Amino acid sequence: MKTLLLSLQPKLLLLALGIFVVASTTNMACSPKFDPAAVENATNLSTLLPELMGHATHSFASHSAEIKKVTDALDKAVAHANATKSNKAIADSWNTLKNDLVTPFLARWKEKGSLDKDYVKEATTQITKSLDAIKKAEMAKKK
Amino acid sequence: MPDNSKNIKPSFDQLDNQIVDLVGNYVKRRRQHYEEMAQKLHASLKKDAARYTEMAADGKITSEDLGLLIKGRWAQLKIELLSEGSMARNKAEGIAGDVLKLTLNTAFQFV
Repeated sequence: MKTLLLSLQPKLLLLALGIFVVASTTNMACSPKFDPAAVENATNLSTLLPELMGHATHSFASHSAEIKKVTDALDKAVAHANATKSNKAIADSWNTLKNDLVTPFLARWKEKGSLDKDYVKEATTQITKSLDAIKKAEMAKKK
Repeated sequence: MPDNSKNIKPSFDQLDNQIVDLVGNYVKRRRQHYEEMAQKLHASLKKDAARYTEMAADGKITSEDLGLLIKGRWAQLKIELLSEGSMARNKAEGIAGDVLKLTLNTAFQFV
């Protein structure tokens, strides 16, 4: 019996080591890694979006170039988040920001031509706080 | 239609019990956890929703703006919960959607 146990020990040790390596690499693969590009996207849009929204009390048509620049930057950020592995929650946040906050605001601006300052102020606060939450989540990823 | 803006905040406060009841439509197990989550969602929404409703009642924003702001505030809350990792999808999404409907219905009584 003792001989049997002694002969098994190296194999058991190797098996335990194998399980540990597989478990730790699987865990690493599932945890999102720190992504400087995503942080930069959130930081840039935290400046670009409120700046653009501040112009929404004026004519939509006269800001079309600026609107395109900002929507392109947002599309790029959303595509990056969606393409990142193990990033479901943050990608959902980016999609919600685009589909439920920015797009309805721009559609309303386009439809009305210009918006009231009280509405713009509240909508800007919502988008700024949402971007802060996304940035915080990006910064919380393991470096 | 109530035209008194001082009724706005109490109307949102009265939704608290309905929020707890609607959780039963979604969950049987871990009900207390989801009730607490729904109350947290609503507590966070109602303060801003009452302010937006007062702005609409005062004519500072239109009723369409009011609807957009409440939906936007709900989206902001969803992003905050997703980013914190504290929102379990499926059931939580359903509960959050019903909280939004109740909040919208209450707001539109005043505009």
